[in-house]
Amino acid sequence: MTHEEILDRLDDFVGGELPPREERDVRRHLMACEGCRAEEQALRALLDQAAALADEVMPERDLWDGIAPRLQSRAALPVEEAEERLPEVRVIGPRPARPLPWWMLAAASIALVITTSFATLRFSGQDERAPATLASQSARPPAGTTGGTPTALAAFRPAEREYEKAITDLQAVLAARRDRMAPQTVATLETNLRIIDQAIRESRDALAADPNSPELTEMLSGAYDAKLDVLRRAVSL
Amino acid sequence: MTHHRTLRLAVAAAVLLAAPAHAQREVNQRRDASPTGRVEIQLHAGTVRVVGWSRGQVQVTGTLAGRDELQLEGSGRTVEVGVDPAGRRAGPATLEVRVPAGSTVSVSSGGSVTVSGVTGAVEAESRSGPVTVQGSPRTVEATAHSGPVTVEGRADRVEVTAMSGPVRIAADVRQRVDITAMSGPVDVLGAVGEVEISALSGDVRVANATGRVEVDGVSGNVTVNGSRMRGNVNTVSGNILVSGSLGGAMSMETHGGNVEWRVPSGTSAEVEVATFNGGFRSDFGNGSRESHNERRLSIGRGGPAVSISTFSGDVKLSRR
Repeated sequence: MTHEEILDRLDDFVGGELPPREERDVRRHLMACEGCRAEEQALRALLDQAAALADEVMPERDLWDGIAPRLQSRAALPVEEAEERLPEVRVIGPRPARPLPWWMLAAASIALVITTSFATLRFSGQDERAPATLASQSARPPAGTTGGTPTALAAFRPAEREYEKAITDLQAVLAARRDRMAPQTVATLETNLRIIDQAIRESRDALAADPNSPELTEMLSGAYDAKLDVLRRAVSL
Repeated sequence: MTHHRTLRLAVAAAVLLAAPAHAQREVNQRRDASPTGRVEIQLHAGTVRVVGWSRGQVQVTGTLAGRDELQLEGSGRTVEVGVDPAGRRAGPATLEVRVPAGSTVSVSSGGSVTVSGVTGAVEAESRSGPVTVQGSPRTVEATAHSGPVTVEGRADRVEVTAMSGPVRIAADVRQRVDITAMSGPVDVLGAVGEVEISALSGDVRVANATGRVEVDGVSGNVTVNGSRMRGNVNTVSGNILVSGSLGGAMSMETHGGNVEWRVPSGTSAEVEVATFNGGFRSDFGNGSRESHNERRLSIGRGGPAVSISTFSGDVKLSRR
C-alpha cells in the first residue's frame, strides 16, 4: 500500500474495522513510518477523548431509570435471545460503535506493542536518523542486550510475546472447532502450520546468531504474521 | 413353509410400500417474478442449475425424490424455491430453475450448483459439490466446501471461498477478485483489476493482473503475470515468479522459496533485496550492499520501490 492509502485506512485501523490483511499492511507500515504513527496516536487520543465525552453526556437519571432495567434484563438473557428481542432501529448518522472481536483486540494490542518495539529498535542505534539522546533515555536495558545497547532481537521480544499469546488463543479456538472441520482440512492446516513453525524457528535462530539484523527481525515478524493470518482464517471458516 | 411364505409376502409388501420413497417425481411450476427481484433457492441434497431468461417468471423443472414436495413461494420482488421433505430430510433433487436474467440469485445445495445467464448478483454455495458460474453476473460470491469453483465470463467483483477444491477464475473481473482457498490450486486467468488471494497449500497463478495484487500463500508456488502491478506477494515455502510492469510499489517475500522477477524492457524501479542464505543473480548489475543481508539497485531511471526478501531462497532479476 502507498503512504496515502495507509493514511486513508488509519480511521478504520484504529476502529478495528479493517480486513485482517489490510490491518496487517497498515501495522507493518506503522513500524517504519513515524509520521503515520503520530497520526495513529493522535487518532487514538481523539477516540479516548470521545469516549470520555460520552461518559460526560450520560442521560439524566430519570431517563436512565427507565432504560437501565431493560438493558439489565436483556443482559441476563442468552446472546441469541437478547438479539432476537432487539427492536429494529434505523440509525441515521455515524455507525454505532460495535464490540470488537477478541482477536481483533489481540491484533491491535500486537500492533501497539510492535510499534513500540520497533520504535525502540529505531532508537537503539539501528537507525542513524533517530535522535541519539533518545537511546540514552532507556532506564534499564532489556535482557539480551550487547554491551548495554538493546539488540533488534531484544527489542522484538515484547512483540514476540504478544504474537505467541495471540497464537495460543487462536489455537485454543481452533482446537475447540477441530471436530467440526473436515479431516482433510485439518491435515492441510497442520501441514502448513508446521511449515510456518519451521520458518519461525529458522528466522529466530538466525536472529539469535545475528541479533542486530533488522532484515532478520522483519523476516521473523513476517513468519509470525503468516501464522496469525492462517490461524485467523482457519477459525473464521 | 408357511412361515417362509408369510415372510416373503411381508418383504414384498414392504418393498412395494417403500418404492415411492425412492422414486423420482417430475415437477414443473411457474411464478411471476420481478425482472430485477431476488430468487432464493435452497436444496438439502441434489443438483441445481439456474439459468437466466428474458421472461418475468421463475420456472422450476426437474425431479424430486419420493414424496418430497416442491416449494415455490413468493412473487414479485422475492421468490423462494425449496423442497418440503416427506421425511426428516429431503431426498436428492435435480432441478433447473429459470429466473429473470436481471435477478439477484442466492442458491445453495448439498450437490452441484451451476448458474448461467444471470446479470444480477449471484451467491452460490455447495456443501459437497462443484460451483460453476458462467455469463455476466454483476457480482459473484461462491462458496464450495469440498468441490471446485469455476467462474467464467465477466463480472465486476468475484469473491470465492473454497475449502478443498481448486479455484478457476476464467473471467474478466473489472474491479476485484477475492479468493480464500485451503488446499486447491488457484488460477485467475482473466484480466483482473485488483486481486487478493489467500491460499494455504495450492499453487497460485494470476495470468493478467492490471492493478493491485495481494497474494498470501504458505506452501504453494505463486506466479503472477500482468502490467501496472503493485502490491504484495508472499509465501512461506513456495517459489515466487512475477512477470510484468509496475504501477506502484511491490513486495515479494518467501522464506524458503526462490524469487524471480522478469522485468519488461523500459521498466524503472528502485529495488531492495534482502536474503539471509540465498544467492543473487541479476541482469541489471549487482547494486550496492547495504549490509551482508541486503543490497539495493536501480533499474532504469529509478521508480516504484520493489522489495524482495527471502530467508534461504535465491533471488533472480531477469530481462523479460
